[in-house]
Amino acid sequence: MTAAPEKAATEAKGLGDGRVGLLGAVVIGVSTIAPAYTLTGALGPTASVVGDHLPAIFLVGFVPMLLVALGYRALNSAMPDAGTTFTWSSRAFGPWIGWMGGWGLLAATVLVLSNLAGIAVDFFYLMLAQLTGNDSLAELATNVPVNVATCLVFMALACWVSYRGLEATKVVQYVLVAFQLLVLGWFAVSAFVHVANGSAPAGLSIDPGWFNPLGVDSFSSFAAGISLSVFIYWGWDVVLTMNEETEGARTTPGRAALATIGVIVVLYLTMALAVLSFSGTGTEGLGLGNEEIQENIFAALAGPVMGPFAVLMSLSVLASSAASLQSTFISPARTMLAMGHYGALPAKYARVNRRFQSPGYATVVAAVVASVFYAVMRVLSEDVLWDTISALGMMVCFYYGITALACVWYFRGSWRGSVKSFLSTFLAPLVGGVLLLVFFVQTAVDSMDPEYGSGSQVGGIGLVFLLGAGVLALGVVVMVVQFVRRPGFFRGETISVGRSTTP
Amino acid sequence: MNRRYVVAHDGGARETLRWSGVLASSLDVGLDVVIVVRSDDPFGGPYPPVGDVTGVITEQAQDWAREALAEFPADLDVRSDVRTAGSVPEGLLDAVADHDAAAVVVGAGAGPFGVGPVARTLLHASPVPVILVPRREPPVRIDQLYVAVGTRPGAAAVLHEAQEAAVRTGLPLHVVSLLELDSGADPDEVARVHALVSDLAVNASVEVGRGRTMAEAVGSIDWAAGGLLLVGSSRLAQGRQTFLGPTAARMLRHVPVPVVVVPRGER
Repeated sequence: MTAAPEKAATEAKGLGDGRVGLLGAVVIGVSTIAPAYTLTGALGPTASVVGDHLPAIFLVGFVPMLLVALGYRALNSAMPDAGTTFTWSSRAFGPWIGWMGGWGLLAATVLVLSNLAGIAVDFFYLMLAQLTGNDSLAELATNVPVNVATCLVFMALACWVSYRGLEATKVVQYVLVAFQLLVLGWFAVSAFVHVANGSAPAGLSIDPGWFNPLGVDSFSSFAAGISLSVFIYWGWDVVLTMNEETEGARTTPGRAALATIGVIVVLYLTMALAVLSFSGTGTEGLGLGNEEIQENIFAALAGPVMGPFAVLMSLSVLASSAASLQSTFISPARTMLAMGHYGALPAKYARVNRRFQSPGYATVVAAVVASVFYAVMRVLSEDVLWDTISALGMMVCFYYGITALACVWYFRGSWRGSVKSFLSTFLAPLVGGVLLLVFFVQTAVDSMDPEYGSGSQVGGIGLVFLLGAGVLALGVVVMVVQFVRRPGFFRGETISVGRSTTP
Repeated sequence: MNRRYVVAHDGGARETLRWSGVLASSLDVGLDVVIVVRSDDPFGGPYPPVGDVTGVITEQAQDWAREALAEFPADLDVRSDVRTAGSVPEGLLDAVADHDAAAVVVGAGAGPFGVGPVARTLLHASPVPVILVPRREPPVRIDQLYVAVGTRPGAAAVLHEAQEAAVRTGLPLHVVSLLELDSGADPDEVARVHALVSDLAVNASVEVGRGRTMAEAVGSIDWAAGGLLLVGSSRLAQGRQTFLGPTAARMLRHVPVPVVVVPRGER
């Protein structure tokens, strides 16, 4: 044998080369927003608050996300850490605010887990009905015990996959993303064709007024719309933090971020326009204002729009939410791992399974909490998906807002270094963070109204408010308990308050 | 310089560590106990994005490494190495290169091919011999070498390897020929093996295992408790790498002693 040993060595390296090209980065960016899932969950609730200004809100909603993401990236490169928001806000503002920032992130991930699983259940039964031609199967999703039981099975499966440390691979992500884009594209084209030949229920032609964010009737509606659109864009910023992994690290990350932004914004706008012109915002039938269909819009629209091919939409949303369900388990588990590691949660949360190298205890806790939460909500709420999405939007605004302000404060000595650092560590995160926190407060205040969102209420107070405020209040309680039991973290023994020292 | 082996460790199974200790003291080699912490696959990212926990897991893995070192007798030359890689086999092969290791020791584990996924990957890609140790307590010493030869042209290469090992270690060598009568084994094979062995520079006994199946053929040999079996790689191996052939794979499932899969063409 004459093959050089060097050759063998490079081949061996090829086993798991993690380099990502431009296309790969865009695929990752699109996969993290799970467009089929987010659109079906968020289109209805967003349309219900901003009406036909949906495209405007999707455009404007992107801005605070982008501003905050710049700050996120600055923090991530200055302090790469497992705890992200938790660690950064602890460094900038001290343990108490840091802890609540981490709690906000945890709450958001648990909320999104419940919502994802709920959407998956709906589409699971819808797909069964479409495949068998037996419509009564789709009705099973509205049967509370069946629904909850199915959801728990999905949750347990996803938890098991995450516990084993299994992750989606490159091939899986490419297939999932391509399939979602294909089906969503198909849906949009079919909807426009229906509009063009007059067979759409509303058949509206695109109105420039739809793009005018100032046309939204009140600031409350505007804030609610933005916090929902924050949810739909949630996750794409991963592309900004992939610097080390990308090929041609000098140019690819920037181009990948721009390309991802382009793909996502164009996709969301196209879908918003397609749905709006097909259905209109009426409160009857297929109108986006119809409360019956709002919480899961594609479940209602795919059939009329795509005809016999609607099953593809079911498959696409189901695949998208199933994949996200699995990848979403990683987020709270890792955040709890980091918080346990720094003593902000009991040490058992930091326990790593040796064989699978996954945060085993934290993963199971995330599954149990999300499952219990879903079961309780399913019983309490008239529209569990809608209410969780609304609360989720609030929670994302809360922790992203804190993260952005942590960036501003942490880098307070470094703003004057250059125009670039002034923009990315001061102006952008400041504006983005303040905006998100304003939307958070506005939505929180509005959601006290029992008529807010889906109209679910407990004792005359809107369920969304109880969810948002209740979760944060619970966080304060857990934090105080933790302070009494293990005060080390709260005395700054594990994460010291500090600031950027590089000018 | 002392020869060194890389030992694959995941913080769990103690048997692999104890087998490695026995191999090290019997064959006079040093050990690098390697724990590979898997880094994130960018395509398997969490939603929503959160931080990289590799650092936190590495810290815990340092503790596992300390526990592992405590398993070995003090007179052995054992070091630990916690490293990060995209996958466990990739990290192990990096470690082999970094430590200039002569072989990599891995627990056979469990799996559809009688070996776990890490061992399976190594068996098809390692530039150095892969030593698969069983999941049970080891004997006190390794004191017999076995080498399995087939009829194919590769037999001479693995015999040569075995001869070198016998000279290096001073252990008695047994040349094993396994005949599966059901799959039409060639009756002339035994004669050919004897001819090959007579060309060797060391004394070696020839042991022939016969049976209808591989399990029976393996079972008909009287394996010493302190045995170590060398097998060659398939001709499918690329360059200087291991590649587990189908016959060797069936052998692995039944052999009661550790198996060393030698890369093809290693010199």
